[in-house]
Amino acid sequence: MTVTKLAADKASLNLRIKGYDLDMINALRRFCLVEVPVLAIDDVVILENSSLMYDEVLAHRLGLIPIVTPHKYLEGGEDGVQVMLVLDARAGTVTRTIYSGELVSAEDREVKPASAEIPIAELAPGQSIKLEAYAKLGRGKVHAKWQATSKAVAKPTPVVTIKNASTAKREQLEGICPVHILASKDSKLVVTNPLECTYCMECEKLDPDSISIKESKDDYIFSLESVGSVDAEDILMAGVDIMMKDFKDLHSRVDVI
Amino acid sequence: MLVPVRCFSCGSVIGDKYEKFRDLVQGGMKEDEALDKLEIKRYCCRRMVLSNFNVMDQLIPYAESVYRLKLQQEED
Repeated sequence: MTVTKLAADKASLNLRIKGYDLDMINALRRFCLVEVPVLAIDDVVILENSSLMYDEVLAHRLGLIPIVTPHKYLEGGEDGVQVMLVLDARAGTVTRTIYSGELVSAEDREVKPASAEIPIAELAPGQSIKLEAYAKLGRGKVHAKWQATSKAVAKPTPVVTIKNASTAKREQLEGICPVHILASKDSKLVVTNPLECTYCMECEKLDPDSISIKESKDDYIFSLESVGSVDAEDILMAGVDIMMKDFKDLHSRVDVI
Repeated sequence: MLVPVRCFSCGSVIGDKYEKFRDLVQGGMKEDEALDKLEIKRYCCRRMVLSNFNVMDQLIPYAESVYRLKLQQEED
């Protein structure tokens, strides 16, 4: 059983996992998607809103803004923990757009919108918005705004085999591949990066005698993409921890019987 | 209304990318190149930015004229 990192940064993570069943990887995928607790605005008290946007629409937009969730909330936080954020915006003599960067928290400086450039509303001269927003810790299974990931996918590692490298359809095959992983070099067909294959099967359809695409067993590429509230690697670790906790809980319950 | 905060299908944030996209396209860049530059990869997110129409731009002039009217009344 091996796990290798293919690519990783704050926003995304790509792993190649060998030797685990799909069931196991799918469980991990679902835990990352739906069980990792993050902060999202859940209650909004609107003190003043003379903008063109209805209160409900405004509150909905606020809910969808990803909020940076510090480690302490991930580890010890219980669902329902809340942090207050405040928005107090006014347009002077010209129309202006208010952005998520104006949403600030006095209680906890680390809690802030993951991106400061999301437009919340447009204010015409003389209009103003004043509100209190309560960010609560929650899980993706309750509402999509609490999802830490925008993508959690496992695909079997593609095995691209070239049976006849000097096929006459080289050029055509090179052109037909949507992810450009086929190339003709020194009048031979080569695969540049088989991991990128999306299983569209166009190449096999065009020339089944010289190329074949197969899914490998017990060898998967697992990719995660963070929404910005928690770093991708932390989402994976939190997902594993929560999965373990749930299994231990089940174990102790079975023990009692 | 304004640009949606998130992609309807996958949930990734696209609200902060629309204005950059609009500026790039107004600067003469092709739409597909602008989307690639902003690293909007999936077609669900690409259609969100590509097909957005800002209704707010059409409503704001009314609110602006209300403000001007108010100023005028105060002067009178």
